[in-house]
This record gives sequence, C-alpha cells and structure tokens, in this order.
Amino acid sequence: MPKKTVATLILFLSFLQVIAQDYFRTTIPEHLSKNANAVVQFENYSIELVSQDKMLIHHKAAITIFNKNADYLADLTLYYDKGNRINQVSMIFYDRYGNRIKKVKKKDFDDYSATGSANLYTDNRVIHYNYVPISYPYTVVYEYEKHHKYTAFIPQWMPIRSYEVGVINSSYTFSYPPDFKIQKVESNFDDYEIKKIISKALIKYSISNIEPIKEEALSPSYFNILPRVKLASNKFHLAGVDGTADNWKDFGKWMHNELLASRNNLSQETVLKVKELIKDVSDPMERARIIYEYVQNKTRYISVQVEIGGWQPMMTDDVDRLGYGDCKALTFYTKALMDVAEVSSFYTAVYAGKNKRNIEKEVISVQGNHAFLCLPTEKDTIWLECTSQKAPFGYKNSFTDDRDVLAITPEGGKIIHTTTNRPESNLQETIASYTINSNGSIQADAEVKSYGTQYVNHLYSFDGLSPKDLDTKMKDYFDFINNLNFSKIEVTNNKDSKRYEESVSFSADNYTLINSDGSMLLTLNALNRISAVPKRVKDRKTPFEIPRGYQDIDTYTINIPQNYGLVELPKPISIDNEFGTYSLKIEKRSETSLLYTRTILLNKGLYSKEKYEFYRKFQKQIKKHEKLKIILKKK
Amino acid sequence: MIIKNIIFKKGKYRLLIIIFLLGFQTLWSQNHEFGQVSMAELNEKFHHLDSTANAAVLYSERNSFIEYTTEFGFEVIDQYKIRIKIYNNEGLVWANHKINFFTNIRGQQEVIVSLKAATYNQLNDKIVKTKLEKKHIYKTKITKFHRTISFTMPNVYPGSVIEYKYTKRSPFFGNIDDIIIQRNIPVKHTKTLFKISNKITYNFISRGSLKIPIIHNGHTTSMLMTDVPALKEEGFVGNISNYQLGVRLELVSTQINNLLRKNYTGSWTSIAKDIYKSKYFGGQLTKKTFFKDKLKILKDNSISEKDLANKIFKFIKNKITWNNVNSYFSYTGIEKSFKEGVGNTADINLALLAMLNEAGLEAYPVLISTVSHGIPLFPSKDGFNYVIVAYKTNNEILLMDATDKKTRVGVLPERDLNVRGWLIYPDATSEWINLFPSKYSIIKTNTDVIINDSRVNANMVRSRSNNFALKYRKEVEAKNLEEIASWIEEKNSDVNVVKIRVNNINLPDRDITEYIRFDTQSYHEVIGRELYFSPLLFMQLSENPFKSEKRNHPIFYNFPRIHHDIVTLIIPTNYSIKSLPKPLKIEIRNNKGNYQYTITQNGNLIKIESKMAINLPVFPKEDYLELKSFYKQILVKQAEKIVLVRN
Repeated sequence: MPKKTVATLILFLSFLQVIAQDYFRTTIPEHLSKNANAVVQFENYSIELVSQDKMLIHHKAAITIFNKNADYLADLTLYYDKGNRINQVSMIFYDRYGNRIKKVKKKDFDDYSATGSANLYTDNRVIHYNYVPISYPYTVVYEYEKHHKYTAFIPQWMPIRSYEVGVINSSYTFSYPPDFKIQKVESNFDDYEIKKIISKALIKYSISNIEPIKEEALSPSYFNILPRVKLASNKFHLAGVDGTADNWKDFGKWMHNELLASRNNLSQETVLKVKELIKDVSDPMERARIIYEYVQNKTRYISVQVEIGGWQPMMTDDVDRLGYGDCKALTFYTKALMDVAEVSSFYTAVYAGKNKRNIEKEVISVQGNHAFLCLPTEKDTIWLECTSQKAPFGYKNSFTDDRDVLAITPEGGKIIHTTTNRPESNLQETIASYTINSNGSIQADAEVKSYGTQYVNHLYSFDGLSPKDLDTKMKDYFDFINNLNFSKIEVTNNKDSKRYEESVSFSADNYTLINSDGSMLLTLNALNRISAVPKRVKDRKTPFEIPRGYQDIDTYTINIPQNYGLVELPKPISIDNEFGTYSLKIEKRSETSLLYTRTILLNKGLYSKEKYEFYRKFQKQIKKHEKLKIILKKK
Repeated sequence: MIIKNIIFKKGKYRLLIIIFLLGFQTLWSQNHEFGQVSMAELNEKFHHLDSTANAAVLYSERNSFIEYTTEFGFEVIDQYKIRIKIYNNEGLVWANHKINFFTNIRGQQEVIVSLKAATYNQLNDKIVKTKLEKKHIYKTKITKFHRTISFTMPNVYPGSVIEYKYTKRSPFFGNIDDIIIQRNIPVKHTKTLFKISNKITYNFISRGSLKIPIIHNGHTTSMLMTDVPALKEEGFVGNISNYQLGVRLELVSTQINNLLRKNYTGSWTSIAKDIYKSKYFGGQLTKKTFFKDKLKILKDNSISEKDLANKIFKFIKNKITWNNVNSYFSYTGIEKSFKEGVGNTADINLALLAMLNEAGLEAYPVLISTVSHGIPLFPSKDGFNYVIVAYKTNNEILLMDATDKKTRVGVLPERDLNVRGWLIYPDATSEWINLFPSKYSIIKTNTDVIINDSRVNANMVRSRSNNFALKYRKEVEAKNLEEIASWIEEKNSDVNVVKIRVNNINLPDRDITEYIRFDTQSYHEVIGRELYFSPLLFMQLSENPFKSEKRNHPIFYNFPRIHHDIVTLIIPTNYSIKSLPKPLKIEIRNNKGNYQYTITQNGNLIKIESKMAINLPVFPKEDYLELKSFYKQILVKQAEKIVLVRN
C-alpha cells in the first residue's frame, strides 16, 4: 500500500508539472507574429534511445495559429505500425483569450489505414483528429508519447517548421546508452543562435525568439534554408533485424546482407532466359540496355508495403512471376538480371523528387524514399529508373539528378553524387515554317525535339494520350494562338535517341492583326513564346534559386503573302549575363520570305537576393522580345 | 411498363418472350462463362468502335438476389463478374482493383466472399492463365466502418485479358449498390439480373444520356446492353457522373407477412412527413429557448422584416462554423452546435430556420443534393445530402446557406448550385425550386489610362457582385493587401501594382470594390512611328474556353453573369489616332447571351466599352457551337488594337 501511494504521488507531481508547462502567452510579441501564419510558443521534443530496439519519444508543443494557412500545424497526424506504438496522445485547443475550447483524447482520434491512392496496400496506419477552427487566432497544445521498436529512424529536429512560422522556444533532447555512438548533422545553422549541449549520452539543442521568414518567389525549398538536426545511432533495429554500422561501408554491407541478399531466388528458367537474351552481345552496355528494356516490358510499378516489405524488396522470383513490384523490388530484380548477364550494377537509395535532397552523409542510417540502379562504367555512371516503362536507357531523370545517393556496392555502401545535365542538354529544338495569308490567317508546320529535362516534360504532357486529349494538350501548349485547328499531330518517344518528337501542322484564323489601311501586324514568334516574368518581391529577404537550366533553339521560315511587302526588319538582339543568354535574329531570304532564329539559355544557380531584380529585368526583356512584331505593308 | 402488361395479360406473348430470353441466355453464355477467355479476345488489338480506348470491359455481369430469412431478415447477394481487355500501357491501371464494403453503427456488416481472378495472355498461340494468389489479396480496414479488398492482377501486359468475380453479401437492402453500366472505358456487353423476393419491392430508376432497356418479368428484372461508349470528361459540366449510364434501386416496400407491410417511399409527401417527424430534423425545429435572448436583441435592432432575416442569417453564420460535413439531419442537435460553435450543414441551417420561424418570418427548409453528390433521381431520402433555407418575402424567395461565412442572403456557394432543390412545408406538401440564381453576378471595371513613352499608367476601379464577390473572397482569404497586390501581379505578368485598396472584403452584404493603380509595359508597343495599344488590358479574353469540336453534355455556368469593362484612354500629346477598332454587337440566339463593343472619341479621350452577358445558368449541348463561335468573335474583337501615330 505505501508503495502505491508514493507512486501515485509521483504521478500526481509529474502531472502538476505538466499543467504548469501548459502556460503559453495570449499576446505574442509583434516582431514574432508579424507575417506569421503561426508561432510555435514552445516545443519540447525529447527522445530516449533506451536500447537497440527501444526508443521512447515524448513530444509536446503549443502553437498559436493565426490563419487558415497554418491549420496544418494543428493537424496532428501520427503514424503507427507493428514496430511503433502510440502510448498516449492528447490535444487541447484554446481561444485567443486562453480559454479552453476543446480537449481531445486518444479515443476521439480517427484511426485509419495509411493506404492512399499511391499504394495498393500498406499496413501502416495513422491517427488523426480533424479540428474545425471556430475563430483565429487559436492555440493548440498537443502532447504524445510513442514507443518505437524500430530505432533506425530518429525523428529530426526542425524547430522552424516552415516559412511564415515564428518560434518563441523550441528544444530537442536526445539521450542514449553511453556505449552507443551517435552521428549527427546540423544543417543551416549559420544564421541562427542555437544553444547546444553535447555530452556523453545526452545531446540537447534549443532555440528561441525566431522571427518568421516570408516565402518569396523562387525561394529555395525551406528544407535547405531552415535549421535542422538529424541524428543516427550506430546500433539500430528495423523490422526484426538488428544493425550496427560506424561507416557507410559497414552500413552498405548490413543492407546488403540483411535486407537484400536473401531476396534473390531467380529460377533457373529465368537465368537461362536472360542468358539467351544476351548470348551474342559482348558489350556490357548493350547487355544492360537489353535487360533494362526487357524489365520495362515485363513489369509495372505497384506499391505494396507489408511489414519489412517497407524496407526490403520482394523476392526476385515473385517479381518475375507476377510482373509487378515497387521501386525496391523492380530495382533489385533488374540488378539480379544484370548479375546474370555479368554486368556490374548497384542497388541505390535516394531522396527522389523535383526538389533536390541529399542522402546526408554525416549520419549513417536508413535514408531515402526511393530506389534505383547505378551502372558504373569506365567513363561515366549510368542511372536506371526501373519503375518507368517509358524512360530511355540511361536517361537522366530530374527526380534523381544532381544529389548525393547511397549505392550498395560489393565493397559496402558508397555515397555518390548523381549527374547534372548542363543547360545545353536540356534542349528543346523547334524547326518550323509558316505562311501568313492575306486574310491574316496562319498555316504552320513544326517539328519539336526535346532532350534532357525537357524530354520528360514533353513525355508527361503528350505521351500515350488519345487523339482528343492530345488535341486539347496541344492547344494548351500553343495557348497564345486562338482558333487553332490541327491537321496533323504526331508524337514519338524516340528512346534510342533519348528525345521526344512532335510533328504538328495547324492553321488559325486571325493570327495577324489587320489595320484599317490594310497593313498587317505580325508577331514573329508563332510557336514558342515565354510570357511569364517572376513575381515582383518588395524588400526581398531570401536568396533565389533556378534549380535547373535549359535551352530552347527555334528556327522558323516565314512566308508572307505575295501582295505584301516588308517595311523594315528589326535589328538582331543579344543579351548575355550570368543568368543566361538570349539572342534573336531576323534575316530576309526573299521579298516574301524571312528566317527567324532565336536561342534562349538559362543557367541553374543559387543567387543572392540582391540579384533578383536583375533577373526579373532579364526575364522582362525576354518577354518583350518574344512578342516582337513587324509590319507588313500592302503593295 | 407497357411491355410488362402485355406479357402478363397475353399468355402466348409471354411464351414468346421467354423463348426470346432463353435464346439470349444461351447466346450470352457461350463466350462469357467465367474462365472461357477466347483467343479472339486475346488477339484483339483495339476496340472496334473506339480505337483510342486504353482498355475495354468485354463483359460485365451482375446477378443479384434479395432473400429473406426469419433469422437474418433481408439480405442482398450480389454476384459480380467482369472481364477486361487491356490494349496498351495506359490501360494497365485496369489491372488494379479495389472493392469497398461497409459496416454500420449497429455492427451489421457486408462481407465479400469467393473472390477469384486470373489473367490471360497469349504465348506461342496458346492461352496462358495466371491465377491471382490468395496471399496477394489485401484486406484493409480503412476506418471503423469502411473496409476494402484490393488486388493487382499478375502478369498484365498490353494485350492481356483479366477476369474476376466475387460475391458481396449485404444486410443493407435499403441501400443497394447502383448498377453501373457505363465506365470511362467502353463496355462491350453488360448484363444485370435482379431476382427479388416477393416480400420486397423496388423501383429501378435510370440515369444517363442513353436509354437503358429495363425488362421486368415477374420477380426478375434484367438489363442487357451492348457497345456502351466510354464516359468522357468535359469542362463546364458540373458533375460528370450525372451523365454516367446507370440504375439506382429505390426501396418501395417490404411485406414479411400479411400484417407487416412497411412503405419506404412512394410519395414525396410521405418522405417529407418522415423527415419532419425525425428528431434530427423536425425535432430540432421546436427547440427555441436557447436563442431567445439573442433573438430579442436582433428584433429590437432591426428596422424591417427583411432586415431582421438578414441579421439572423449573419448571426448564425458567424456563430456556428461548418465542419465540412454535409447532412440534412442535425445529429449533434442545433442547441449543442450553437453552444460549441461547430456543426454540420443541418446543425447550422436548421438553427437558422428555427430562429427565422421563431421571429415570425416565413421560412422553410430546402433539401438539396450538392454538385458532387449528383442530381436526385427520384423521391428518396438518399437523393439529398444537404439542407438550406428559403425565406419568402414579397413574392420573392431568398435562399440562404449559413455554412459559408462569405455568403449573403440570396447568394449560395457553388457546391449548392445543383439545378433544383426540394422545398418542404411543415404540412408535408412540397415544391421544387430553382437553385440557380436569377440575379446576375457582375464584374465591372472602369479604368483611366495614360500612356507615357515606356509605360502605361492606369487607375482602375473594379467591382464584383454576388457569386463573383464570393469567389473573390475565397481567393483572397488569409491574404493581406500586400499579398492581394502580389496575387494580382502574379495573375497578370508584368503588371506593377503601385497602390491598392479593397473595400468590403469582410462585409459580404456588399459588393467588393478594388481601387488599383498600376503600371505595365505589357499592353502597348511602339513600332516605328506607330503605337499599338491593347485597350482592354488584362480584361481582354485570352483564350476560348471551348476548344473541342463537339459537345456531349450541357454547358453549366451556374449563374448568369456580366463582364463589363470601360477604359478611357488619354491620347498622348504628340500622337494622333491612326485607326480604331470598329464597334461590334452580337447575340446568342434568343438572347441567351450578348456582347457589345463600342468605341467613341471625344477630344483627346478615347472611350472603349466592352460588355458580355451570359443570360442563362445552363445551356443545352445543342448551343455549343454557337457559344464557341460567340467567344471566337469576342476574342478577335478584343485583340484589336488602337493605333496611334507620332506627329
């Protein structure tokens, strides 16, 4: 009995403490709330790594939400699965005066499957509470405790959740068994005053009084600007498998031995089939191409994530038999076939997405959200996206380009940087000839060829569409011309040349403007006009980024009506600066024929905020020249 | 129905038709037996009527039985069978399937049994069959009430044929799954057979743009169709599923024995009566005490009945926030919602109605089906999912929906604008009322323009009324003035907003007025001695909303509208006019829409006026080409430039 009383008392005392911590302000200093969608009043993130397969997470935060743009911060969504349990969770909502509006307990949360439209199945589940804000501002105080068996993912600290969020106080505490080694990476710390305590078995960070940063046009992803800490333990556990790794080499070996090696059980029949496919081919690259295309025709992408299947590929024989798999399965299957063909290849983990994100090499841990295949060759490294049925062999995808990835080589793990396309190779080339009739209509024939990142833009826009949808898409592509009528639209995914090809013929009424004296105003660029100028930003605070460069080259032969003459041809235009180049030239071929050539090249880069206005000016000039007109006089 | 009578009255006809049906039966069963995929089907390269189809349903069958046992009551047994041909890579999505099934709050549940599936391919002139393995069938508990079975077919490639069948047993005889006849791929053959116990009756109500032959024969109802074209999306259509061919079953009555007869539908009156009787509807309308004090204050402060109605509307919409749940039943109860400040559609609008009635104003509930819920096909409780309020004053009906804080009396959010609503009176009589507003929504601009050598400077006053004002309020929600300016700049590239003021953003009773001073280089050009000016600035229509050559469905605008722009240009001192656009006046037949463009010169001022009116909320598809050409003429006219020449 006495024991129990003491326990109750301790429980009660700790309760009191919790209540005391609930204190938050009803008025927030102006400099923190100005431009803020929300302010994190306090946040205590505390993580205790108890042992290799036990991690306790306690997270408590009070966030004041000023408008609906930040409602998502009050929207607590917690994932759980076989290895991760939610012990307790609660949310309390307060109005602007600090009056409690609602208290939500675990039983009030919705509990549903995390299977979305992207997955056929996953055994992950989420709990979520849908709060309806009655008025703004309001404050949410939430608290939860999770118990993780899987210690391979230690939640990271990102005290400033996003753009337009201020912070009064945020802290992060991580404790661990003293005999474990913890790796850490601190990103984007430079502009911030961050307190830290690093001692044996304890790591602690805190930050306070952070003014919100406004997101501006072309701002880099907040992930690359805002401070962030990521940790990893050299001893970890994942779905029934223990791991130990002090360097990428060992980590790669662990991944290979525990997650990959046992998954290859290709049947003898398949092995023979692969050997048959490549029997007369000696060039390893040619062999790789044959196998890649074989896989493309044989399989399709389907995401099914069951238990360890979230981290481990399906058996290769299952992929072979069923003809589908997720990125891990298809990549590993392709690798298994490459092995049979004696072509060296590495299973590779990556953070895929348009926004470039590195595997963080400082923290040796399970990272990435995608798998693809690395093919080392003597002069170059080739990357194969195994989930695509359309990508040409060796095509450089903008989902995995220009970033650090983790390749699992026979010698262990290795961080490699994927290739970047030079802007010149992201080329779109338009060769066209068009005729203007004396009633102002236009008749055009054009061939468009796209490479690199532009290849994929065209592929996704035009490939595999029905004629009706293709017609609509083409009308959108040429949306600066009204009354379009296509007499021909042909599209080809030219895999061998890694380019996308369109061949179109169209006519349109009223293309030129006819003045009352019969003269005509002709906009020369009839096929590829850039019309967007980056938004004006007053008093810019953040740098700006052009994530990928490109080049467009356009050559048009222009025929004007016989009964019209040219008055005066504009002079050539040429702009050259650090952002890129733009040039335009009009040459007279005959009395009724012109040659129009235009080139635009944009460089990728991260630029200081001071340069933004120059960049805008460059784009404005381009926009103006894109609409360059000439007068055609009636004879 | 007439055919049915003939069958039963004249014996010999009956025989004939039975033979006819039997004949059909054998003809159908030949190639559509489960598992009997033919080489011809595997060899097929494209759909014979729609060569652009990515996949096609070769055959789909549904056999349903409604059985009664004293132990379990009524049970619906649905046997589904479907065979699909995949023509190309884009068609591979048809290899993935998901079956939904549900449990209700009382624990009654649907079950899926006997799922069988296989893929058929052709290899070396032989048919190769790959069965779907049990371990690759995934059962997911999505929520407490919703489960799914999902699977993807093995070995599917362009050319494959897949087939699956399953049985669903459901206790929900009052809510039978719709019969789906049309899909977004073509359907070659579809057959549905309903065998219904003599203890229960249903109405079969069809929807879609083709006629569905529904044949009744005793307790069996059958529907057979061949070559059903794919359902295709179009713009300005509201909810495309309104046009999807299908049949809904309406439960009419059950009769377990001579005494226990229960009617479920039948007349509109009985439904209205039921709804009023419900404690979640009529029961709520009697609760009045909790708002008494507040009502007194509102009453004391209003100058007329209409003013009072307006005040009550404003009070309720600001008092209770919508939780995004649609319903015409107030489950939380209006009093509790009122106190907590959160509620579903009915919690809010029934509170509004109760308060209006208590104030002595003539107001009634209107049941509607939101746009995403489709158009109700027959008198049924399930046809509706939402309730709004009709206030009758001076022979005018004003509709109110207090779920949206940005609306006003007489202006409904677009989700509500689904053709017609059903107004029910407390005595259970009812009438249909038009939900589309008759009042115009107007955007009007008045702009003064001065051209300097390099820039155009403009002063604009832009006003928006009714649904246009509502749209604007939603778009600029949570934006401050600076952000609104930036949003305007973003929509109209190379426009610099120098100064902006917006009136009435937070006063939904009034029109929105923006005062915008801006400069731009985008709307004029100097070529040689000539200056070309696009007089309508960014109000100029940039593209024809109607691009395709044909139209399958009506065109929904949802509310009549006017775009009225006036631009006054001061001719720069060193320039004179070279040419001006000519005026234009066009009309859509029977004045369903019209456009007028005028231009006048007065001293050094040029005044351009452009006014487009769309006078109907919905146009029949037959008007499509005329509408398209209407826009085409407007586009050409608005693209014309004012040409000035330097002296």
